[in-house]
Amino acid sequence: MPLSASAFIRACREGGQLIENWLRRYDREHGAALYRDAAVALRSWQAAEDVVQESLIKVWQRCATFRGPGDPHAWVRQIVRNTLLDRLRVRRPETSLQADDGDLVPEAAAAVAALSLASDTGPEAEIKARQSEQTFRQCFAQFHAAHPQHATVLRWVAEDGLDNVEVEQLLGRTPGATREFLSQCRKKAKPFFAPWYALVKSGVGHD
Amino acid sequence: MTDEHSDDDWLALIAGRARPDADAATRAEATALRTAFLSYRPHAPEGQVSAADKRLDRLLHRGRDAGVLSAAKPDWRARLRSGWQRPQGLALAFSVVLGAGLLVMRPTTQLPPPAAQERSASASQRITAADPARRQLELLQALRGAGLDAQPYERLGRLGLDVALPPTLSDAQRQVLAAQGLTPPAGPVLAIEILAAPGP
Repeated sequence: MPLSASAFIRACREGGQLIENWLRRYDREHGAALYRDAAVALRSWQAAEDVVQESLIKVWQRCATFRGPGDPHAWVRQIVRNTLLDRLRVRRPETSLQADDGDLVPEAAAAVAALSLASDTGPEAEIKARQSEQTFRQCFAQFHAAHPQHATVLRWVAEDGLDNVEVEQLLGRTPGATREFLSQCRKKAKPFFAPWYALVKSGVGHD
Repeated sequence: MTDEHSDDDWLALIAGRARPDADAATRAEATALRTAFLSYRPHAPEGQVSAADKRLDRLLHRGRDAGVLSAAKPDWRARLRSGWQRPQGLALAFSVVLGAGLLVMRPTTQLPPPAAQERSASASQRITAADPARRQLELLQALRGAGLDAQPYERLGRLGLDVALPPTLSDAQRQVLAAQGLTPPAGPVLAIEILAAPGP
């Protein structure tokens, strides 16, 4: 059974074995990428499996609302990401790294400063490139720990080239609320990525 | 340039879209961030997703619980291969034949009203009837008459119907289902099994 729009619509109409066949094939072709994406966001394979499967059930509960004619994969992936964001929304970081005004709390700021100093010491390009990668990963991990939803959406914007409308659909918010969310992404990301900005380009990210 | 415009430029540049009018600082910051996001994709956590067959089993099980998939078909080959179950199976078959025979021999002028024995939110619902074949036909006509896509089936001598439900049921369709002793499931598929009523 192909994963085309027509096969999807037929399975939706006839149900039963056709849906089961579709799920088997979809898991084989797209499962690995979906589970990985969810595991990166949730930092847990078990939670990722739960979210992806919950989403695939939703897909068939809402299958009649699919509007082709394109590949239903994009539509399915949007439902998975929607569910993922819902899950991230209810998660709270164990310890807040930011104060109410958006600045890092002193402990986090000290850790970031230490990271920045350590990163500045590499004299050679190769070392600097490795430091850049390491620093970026650490900055992103801290950003993700503090603001999982914003970090995940920002990563999707970069990786998939999402525009405002697509983010709006993912978040299920109004255009104004989406714009505010994206503005908050930038504001919240800034202190976390500051040491990395400093490392890759002097002046970038600083006011 | 307003913050709002600057944020739009920042986001567009991170997404890889051209923003020729973006200011230099925003451009440098967003371009560097985009390059890093694409170059240093976050590592997945330790471990891995479950084996394909196990996660598919779980997924299909959840699908059945949610009413998206029909109930699993009984594996009759495995049952027949299992020696200790054979007498039970034969006894069951004998009981069904005996019950059906008694019902046929019983002089009845009116079909007893159907009684729903099990109702649940899951997709598979069972109803009992003295004459399953006749009940199946009645159900088929009633459901199709209400515009529902109902398909009759016979599995292992057991009759039933698979019904594909639209995302939103009309009031008339709900009334027809209720009149037949059926509860609309959460999912798009309703599987109905018709069991022979036990003899008197």
